[in-house]
Amino acid sequence: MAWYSYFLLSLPETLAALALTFVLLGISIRTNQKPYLLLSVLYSAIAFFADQYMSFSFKVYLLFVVLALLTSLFLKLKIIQGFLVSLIFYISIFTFQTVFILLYTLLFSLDFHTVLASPWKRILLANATNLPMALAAYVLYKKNITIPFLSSRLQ
Amino acid sequence: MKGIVPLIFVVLFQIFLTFLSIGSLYIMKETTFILGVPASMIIVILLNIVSLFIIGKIYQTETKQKVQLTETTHEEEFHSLVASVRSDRHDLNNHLTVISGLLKIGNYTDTENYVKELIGDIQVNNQVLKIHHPILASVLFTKMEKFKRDHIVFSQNIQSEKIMETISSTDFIRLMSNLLDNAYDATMELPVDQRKISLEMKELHGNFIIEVKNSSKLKNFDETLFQNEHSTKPREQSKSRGFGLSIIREITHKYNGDLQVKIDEELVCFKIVFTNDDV
Repeated sequence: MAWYSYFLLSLPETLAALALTFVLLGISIRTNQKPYLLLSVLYSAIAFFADQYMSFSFKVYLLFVVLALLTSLFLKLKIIQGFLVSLIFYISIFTFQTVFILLYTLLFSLDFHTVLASPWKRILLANATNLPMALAAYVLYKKNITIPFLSSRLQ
Repeated sequence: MKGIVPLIFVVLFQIFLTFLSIGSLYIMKETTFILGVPASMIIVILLNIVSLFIIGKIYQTETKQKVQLTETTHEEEFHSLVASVRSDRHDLNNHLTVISGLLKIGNYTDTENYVKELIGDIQVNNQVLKIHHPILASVLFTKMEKFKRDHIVFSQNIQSEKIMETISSTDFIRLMSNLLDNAYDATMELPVDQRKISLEMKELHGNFIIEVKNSSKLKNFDETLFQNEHSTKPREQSKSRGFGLSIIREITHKYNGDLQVKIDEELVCFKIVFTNDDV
């Protein structure tokens, strides 16, 4: 991945997915502004480097644990709560990516491996997924929709 | 609910792994196989088994809590019955002294009134002491005390207690308590002089019958009242109620009994028939 992919791909993806996770779990972004930004910057840096040197499956497992530990550290949560945040984060990303990437590849007859090979096409496709994710986070925040049972566990 | 958090974790982790499998197998075309099966799928199967195990544990804990709650309630009722009988025995000497004094001075009218009052007070205990089965006696004692306090005319006709040999104590306490509590709630909506509850337990042609009748405002009875959170009580009073009727039906079904509900001459009648073979 080109160096600018960090700012144009990894960071926006983390910001959108973390925002959606925070909204779903009832964690206020406003009061946790600093940890939210620090977590996003640090995690997306780790994700950026992991993406260059590791296989997909191993990378996801590793990043899943890293995010859980970083979340519990920055948000001063229990480790188990950190894993809960990490699970919701990954399920959100996977859901949006599966739905939208499949949709775009079908609509525009894209070859997935060609997209992966071109940094700008990859950035474009990733952000076309991040945007609906950020929009979903905004709508859920405005409508005050959370996962009731799980959000109460993090208060 | 104990155990629900680990269950949520396991289920979320399964969703996570399923997505990961889709990503690595179909999109990235890279995955680890164990005996030709993707490794993440094997983990998902194992987690499925763990989920079933956790669900089983949750069910066991819930059942245990339900039994404990019933046993605690019964224990309290039994202690209350014993305390009442002890108190009657303790007061007996005082009552006899008063009667003796009244007889000595030849005041027969007051003696008669005093004895009548005394009979009224110990009537509940006397009725209950005729019942052989301690669980039935203690359940009825508590309810009769409550009925007496709220001026509800209660009559009982216990011809057979054999049902107690076949239904578990826990289920019997839940069944009888809910039947009598529902009757109590319904009668409390009426003026004092119209409050009536009767209980009949008998054995007929090999069938065990429990019949509870009560006066009520209710004019008709429909099937939706048996659903959870439905109550025969008015909406404003039934916020935390409405499970009584469904519990009655649940226990009746558990023992293959037949539950008949009818309204006859302004009396709501719950008749439960347990056939001897089925129980």
